[in-house]
Amino acid sequence: MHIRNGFTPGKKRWKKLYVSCLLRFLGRAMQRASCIDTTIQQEAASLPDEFTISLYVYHSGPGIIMKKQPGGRLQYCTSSKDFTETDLCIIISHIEAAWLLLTFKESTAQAVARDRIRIRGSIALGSQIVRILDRVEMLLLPRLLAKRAVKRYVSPRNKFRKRFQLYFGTYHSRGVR
Amino acid sequence: MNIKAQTYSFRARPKIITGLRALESVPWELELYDARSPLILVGKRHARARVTALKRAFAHSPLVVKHICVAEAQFTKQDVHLLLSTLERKQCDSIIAVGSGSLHSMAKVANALYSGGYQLDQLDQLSLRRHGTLPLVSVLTEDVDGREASTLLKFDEYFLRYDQIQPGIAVIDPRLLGRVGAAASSASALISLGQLCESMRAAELSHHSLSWVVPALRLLGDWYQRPGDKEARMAFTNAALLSQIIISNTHSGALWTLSEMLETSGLCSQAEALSALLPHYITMLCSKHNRLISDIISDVRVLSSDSPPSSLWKETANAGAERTLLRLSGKLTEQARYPGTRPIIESLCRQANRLLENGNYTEVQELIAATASGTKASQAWGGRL
Repeated sequence: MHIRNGFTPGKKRWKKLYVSCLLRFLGRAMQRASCIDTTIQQEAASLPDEFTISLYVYHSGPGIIMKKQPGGRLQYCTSSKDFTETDLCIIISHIEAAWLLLTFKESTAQAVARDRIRIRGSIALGSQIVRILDRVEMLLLPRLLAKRAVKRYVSPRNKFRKRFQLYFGTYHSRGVR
Repeated sequence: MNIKAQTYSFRARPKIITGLRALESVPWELELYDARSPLILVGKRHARARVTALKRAFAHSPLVVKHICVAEAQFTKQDVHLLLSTLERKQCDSIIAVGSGSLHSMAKVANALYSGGYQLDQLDQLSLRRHGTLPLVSVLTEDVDGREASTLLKFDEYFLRYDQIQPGIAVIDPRLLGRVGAAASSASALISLGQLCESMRAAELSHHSLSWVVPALRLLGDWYQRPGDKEARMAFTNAALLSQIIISNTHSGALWTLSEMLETSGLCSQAEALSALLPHYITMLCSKHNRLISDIISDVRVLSSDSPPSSLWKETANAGAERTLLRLSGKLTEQARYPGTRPIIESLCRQANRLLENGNYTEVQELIAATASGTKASQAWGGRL
């Protein structure tokens, strides 16, 4: 037997960049969708005010932090990078799991069932956030992709109008620091 | 209803992570143990490729891998000493073992000694309960029979069992599965089938065992015709782990006792012994617990609607439980291609049978008699004995 030097874990830069971009876009889309879609507003209304949620890839990101504002609005926070300091953490186990999830090869429900997503905090509130995420994906994505990304696809009312508002609003919206 | 008779316990360890990208979950799992500085123990064969795979799999993780131990297939006492000194010097907080069976044994030995501060000659006097052990991750690659992830420790003259040395996590990733021939793969499946048959004997005692037997049996029957395929090897490795968990909750019966004795004697491997003993054991088992075995087989058939067309369950749809199991064991024995040790085992059983003829008849004697006579166990019981 012989001992050899160890290694520094590798980097998957392209995958990390893609996941980072998509999570940021999703954060902004959730912020905008909570203003235009009543279903999301109803889901978000039951969260306590100033409640913070992080959705990130273990262990140091990329990820996003959302904050609940009064009136069922969700706010995307850009400044904070400490994902563990939030009231609720939704953690994706590794960059490959995030890649599967955000390239819509695997739905959120499948990822939870395969232990690729863990929730730290209230499970009930975590499920609410997952439902909001699913709704945002249904609004953003064409039916073919959305069916793969969510457990049960329900076509939203005024889908195309909302989709236009969402893409336009997401492009122009800014998160808070 | 007799409540007392329904009390049982079932130990379901290790945690099994299986499938493509299973390796990526290791840092995430080690986080639960608060371990970030593992020592990696890897077999010399394919060492470079496996280290590269680990490096890629642990991307963006907080793990700090300071040293890697590259070990030969058979390890010595010097190897254990070297491993212990490395663990001590580098203050490692976990061990990841990647390779074949002996490598996992070495990881278990080193872990047990290091955690308790023992010397190698104190291996049979360990008191691990007070000390606890380091988290051990077993990445299974080739020649897997499930014992890698068990509480069993086999080293030199020692043959020990400690609950604390069992790996916490067992990983099966197809990217790391080594190239193994159809014969070796079938031999591993034969061991799993032997373990499952043993546990079916005691399945009436624990319903948990019964629920684990069904998926393990299904994995074997689905892939038994293509043992060289990667999917089949994945299935057999999973079945080996499942059957190991079941057998660790069952007392050793006739089949296991005899096959282990034959293996320890150096006469043949355990799979070879099982290939000779299994047909007789299956006949005995089905004559005693026919209803239970038929129920298990019909449960597997119900679950196998999406199995490959060549699966055992579709081919033997109208056959009885005994014939189905005999066909599975016969086919696996044929694929394992054992070079004529069967007559030796049978002659050994004949001699043992003669020695035991006047004793009290136990299950072991019954199996010996059945193997010796080459007839059905029930006939041997009523005729020869």
